[in-house]
Amino acid sequence: MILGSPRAPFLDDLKTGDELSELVYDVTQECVDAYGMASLDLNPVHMDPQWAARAQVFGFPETVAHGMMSMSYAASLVLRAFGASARITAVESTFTKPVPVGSTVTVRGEVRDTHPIGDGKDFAVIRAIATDQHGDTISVNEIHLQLPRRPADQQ
Amino acid sequence: MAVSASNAERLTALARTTKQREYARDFVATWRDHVTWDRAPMREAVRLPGEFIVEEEDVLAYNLALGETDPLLVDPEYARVHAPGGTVVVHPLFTTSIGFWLAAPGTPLSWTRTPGARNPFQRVVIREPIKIGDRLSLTVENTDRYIRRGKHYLSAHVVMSDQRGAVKAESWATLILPANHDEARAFATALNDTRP
Repeated sequence: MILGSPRAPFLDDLKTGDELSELVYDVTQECVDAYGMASLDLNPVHMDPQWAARAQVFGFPETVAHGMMSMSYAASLVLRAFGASARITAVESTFTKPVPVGSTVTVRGEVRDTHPIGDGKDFAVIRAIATDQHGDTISVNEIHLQLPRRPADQQ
Repeated sequence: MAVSASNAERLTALARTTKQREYARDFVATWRDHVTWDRAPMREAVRLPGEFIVEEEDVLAYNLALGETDPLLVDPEYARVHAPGGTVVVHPLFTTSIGFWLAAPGTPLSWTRTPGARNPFQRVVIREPIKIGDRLSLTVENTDRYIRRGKHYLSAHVVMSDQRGAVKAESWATLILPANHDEARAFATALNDTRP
């Protein structure tokens, strides 16, 4: 099943391996600037091309996208599949490759597992992998999404 | 030298919200007041001074920066009618803005602003959704520092509470940092390096 509907399904509707509609974004200095101002992370490695060219924190002269931007897009992938009000309860991300301005990132996600633990705390784990235009993984993300069970009268 | 004059002007022009205009935008200029890896106070929970009052414009800036188009995230009028709380929905990673706002120079979390820092991994747990109007504060404990493959990691546990004292979110933040004051200075003064 491809999850692209804005309506959040019930936990019972999900199966391991269900995919989310992918999300693609271009990493331009303009979008890094917008994210930097919004997040208030104005580190010059993101926000100052002249400084980045001199400091070469990652061994190349370009500014790079924020790791938290990559993490946020992984969460956005889930919001777009399950609806803006979807109840994300945890996000864990590992950043595996810096993302210089000029990159194109694709985020793909799938249901890794479901947790029907009851007491209104049922959740699914979405694993989202972001890759760059070379196919290299830039971040690995796990998002916990609280979802209701299907009511008995709708079984 | 702080950020180049042209970049300072660029950042000034980019500032749209009240917080963005009031914020100390030059992370290079304040580098001496960022706690360094080797001097970070450890295992001591400290409530950071100040609070972050969540305004609609802050939330909109975050959601729009991520290219969101769902009216629940970007259209206040639509959200007033259709959103659960009658306001635009706050992105779950909006916690980032709150962290940076409160991680002022001199505080135990100021290392997050260090020029030359790299981000290896992060974990955020949202206990309750953040809402517009929340008055949020942070309690920070630097929990670990370690060296792995020659890189210097610093980790903190950050607890975000609202005006009622309810915990809204927790995060486990880690960065790779310059090892000490001298390494931090080398990054901070990169623009002074006249080599081609």
